[in-house]
Amino acid sequence: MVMKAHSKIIFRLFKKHLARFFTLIALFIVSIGFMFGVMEIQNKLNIALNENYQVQNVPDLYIKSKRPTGFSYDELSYFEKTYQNHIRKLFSYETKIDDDVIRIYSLDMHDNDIDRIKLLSGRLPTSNNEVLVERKTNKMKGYALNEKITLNNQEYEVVGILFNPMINNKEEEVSFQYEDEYLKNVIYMQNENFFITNDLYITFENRSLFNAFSRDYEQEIDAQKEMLYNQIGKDNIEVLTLYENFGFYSLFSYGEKISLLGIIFLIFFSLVTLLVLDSTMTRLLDEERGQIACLKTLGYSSFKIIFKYLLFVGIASFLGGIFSLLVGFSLTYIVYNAFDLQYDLPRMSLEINYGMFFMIFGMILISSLLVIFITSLKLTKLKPILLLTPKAPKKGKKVILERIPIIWNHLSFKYKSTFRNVLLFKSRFIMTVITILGSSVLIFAGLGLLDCATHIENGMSLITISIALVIFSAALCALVIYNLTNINVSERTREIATLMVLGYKNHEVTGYIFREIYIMSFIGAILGLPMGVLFIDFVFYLIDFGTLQDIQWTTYVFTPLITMLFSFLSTLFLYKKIVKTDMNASLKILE
Amino acid sequence: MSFLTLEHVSKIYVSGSTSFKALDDVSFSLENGQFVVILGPSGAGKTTLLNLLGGMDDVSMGKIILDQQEVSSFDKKRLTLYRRNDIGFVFQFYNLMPNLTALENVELATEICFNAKDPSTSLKDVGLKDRLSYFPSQLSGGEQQRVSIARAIAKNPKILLCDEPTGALDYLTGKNILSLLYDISKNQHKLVIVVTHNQALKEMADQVIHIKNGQIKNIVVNSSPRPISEIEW
Repeated sequence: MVMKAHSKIIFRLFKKHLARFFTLIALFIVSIGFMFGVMEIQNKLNIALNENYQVQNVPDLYIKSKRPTGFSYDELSYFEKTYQNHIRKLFSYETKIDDDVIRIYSLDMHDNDIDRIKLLSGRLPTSNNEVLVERKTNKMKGYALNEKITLNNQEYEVVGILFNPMINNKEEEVSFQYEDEYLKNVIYMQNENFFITNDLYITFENRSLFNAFSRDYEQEIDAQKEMLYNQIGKDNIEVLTLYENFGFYSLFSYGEKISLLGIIFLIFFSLVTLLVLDSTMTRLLDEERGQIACLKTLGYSSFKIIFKYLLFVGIASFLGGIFSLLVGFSLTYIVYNAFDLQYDLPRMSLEINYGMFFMIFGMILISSLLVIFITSLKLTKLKPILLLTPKAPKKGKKVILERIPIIWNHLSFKYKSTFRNVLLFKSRFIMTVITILGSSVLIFAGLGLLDCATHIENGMSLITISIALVIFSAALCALVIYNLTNINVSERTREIATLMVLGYKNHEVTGYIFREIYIMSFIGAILGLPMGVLFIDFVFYLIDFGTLQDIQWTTYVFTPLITMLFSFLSTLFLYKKIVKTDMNASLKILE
Repeated sequence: MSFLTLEHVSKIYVSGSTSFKALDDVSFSLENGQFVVILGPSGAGKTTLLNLLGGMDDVSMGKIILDQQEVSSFDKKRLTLYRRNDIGFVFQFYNLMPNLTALENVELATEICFNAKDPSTSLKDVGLKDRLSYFPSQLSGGEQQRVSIARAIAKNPKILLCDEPTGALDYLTGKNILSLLYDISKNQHKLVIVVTHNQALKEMADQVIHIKNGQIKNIVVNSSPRPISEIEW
């Protein structure tokens, strides 16, 4: 089939700028993937929350008697009449062993319908001197299987370890009995004859109402709470809801916090994506000035000229989008598994939230196309004669540093020129520093988590997260640096050729270009440390794991080193391109 | 032996299965302090010749000997040092660094060669003593070309190679630049080689080398060159 001449132009655009095309695809993969991956976490946690709620039959109301003798006969019969068989009776009290506050739940483990016991190891008790215990967490001391516990002069053996979603796993669980003290252990004992019942678990009949703390659920729970207080009185009972049960509510609230974090990522990654996209396409359009002028003089409409650049970006974002789905999903999976360590979550749902994905993808696509549309429209509005002459290089001028003679006069000549360039191209400077700063913050977070992960027993999944985080951010960092340096090199072939003609050696010529990148990387890497500390402190708070003290000094050293290493590696790729610059071609023609 | 000697120099560009002979058996010798014009239509091989003389490209056959060194035998690294210390280039489009001032543009060249002159003196010599701290964008075309000449002579090179140095300049400015180059060859005793397609310049040269289709058509020695101010075109 014979292609029309204009279609050929479109085809050759892709062929000529293939490296840029792939850079854009990679950019979209990393940014959309990361944004989608982080935003998906809340959704997946809520699905898990619903599943836990259903499978373990988590009670909606926790009623505590305020009397030491427990609920009265009348009260109990009222509850049974109102809630029928959606009730689980418990007797609970707290005591101290060696100054540690211990809570004891005594319950019938064979009537195991509400707040179903989820054994992590061991078995259910078969005799009265066998008990179950809550697993060890950051806050809970825990017992080992077969450990003997002495309570009220009687010895009990631990036969099973369980996970109770009603017990707080993130913050310390407050003692009911001892003021300002926290639980160190929870013991579960078999009980068949309830002489005293002081706790009740109650479940609502309609289990689908919950739906990750929906508004309907909130209304229903408030109504029930008020009804109970009216019937029995606030002096006799205390009604706790799932909103007050931090053990269960925390997973939901962390989901919300991660979404908040996701919005920060959303802003950061969108900003970086648009900045990188704009600088890449601006350079590409500069190289196309001659062709745009030619098409204009032939009478092609501005839209027809612009269309192929929109297509270029559109196709890149489309291809990037497809792969980003995979990348984002893997990220969600990795983070989900870290939560699994703390919460013992069900298997992650493999369903993809396309609504969220297309929202992020659409947002990036539309803003990208808009940026390219505006940039290219500006060019096509120029008169052809202006397009036929090359864009004037940015005028040299004195930079602010030159007003500080103490610094300026002590800089070697090479550095004067470098600093002038770094400070002259402000948008490039800001874009590079922001990206590198962001990447180094993420690298710091990854390494910091790695430090903490090595301290705990089953940190293997957390270790994967940390490594993934480091790789992700380093990839973004390398991508942006490579792209910027590439633009920088093609914009300055003339300067490079001049240096070569003046007899500068290969490493001196490349140094002239790379020094700028290294300085920007250095600034970003150093600023990344304090920002990284703030960020990881927030992350520690989110996942309730690790402290700043756990971070080894090596992390503070390796973060800037890794950042610098990646900027070094990405410039290495461009070494060949620079030294192969054709002196004649670039010096003797006017582009 | 002459200061600069070319013996049977050829340059062949090979691209795939086709090859193109840009220079074909070129031989001549030139002396220090001469002002030489290489004349020819575009595509004749002038620029190729200049590239070989300037160490920007290597010869395919033959020898180039400058001041008793066999330049044509240099490898890439030696050629870099050769460009650094022995050659001064002046181009049609000046090729100044836009982010460096006039003085710094000269320093860019002098800081790496061992035998350099004082950069500000060189700028004074080309009449730019009031323009030392100006950036290229603040200078006129003629002034920018003067900076590039100052940059070339400050290196104290053995030869000054100029490729269409007046190509981008207006008539009068062009004349000024040419007379500056002529004075350099005489006052500083340098071999100055100017490549041009402007026939009028042959009257001001000590020696004119005509090339066409990669070959030397003839070499004319001019015993009484006319000053550029008297030449009109």
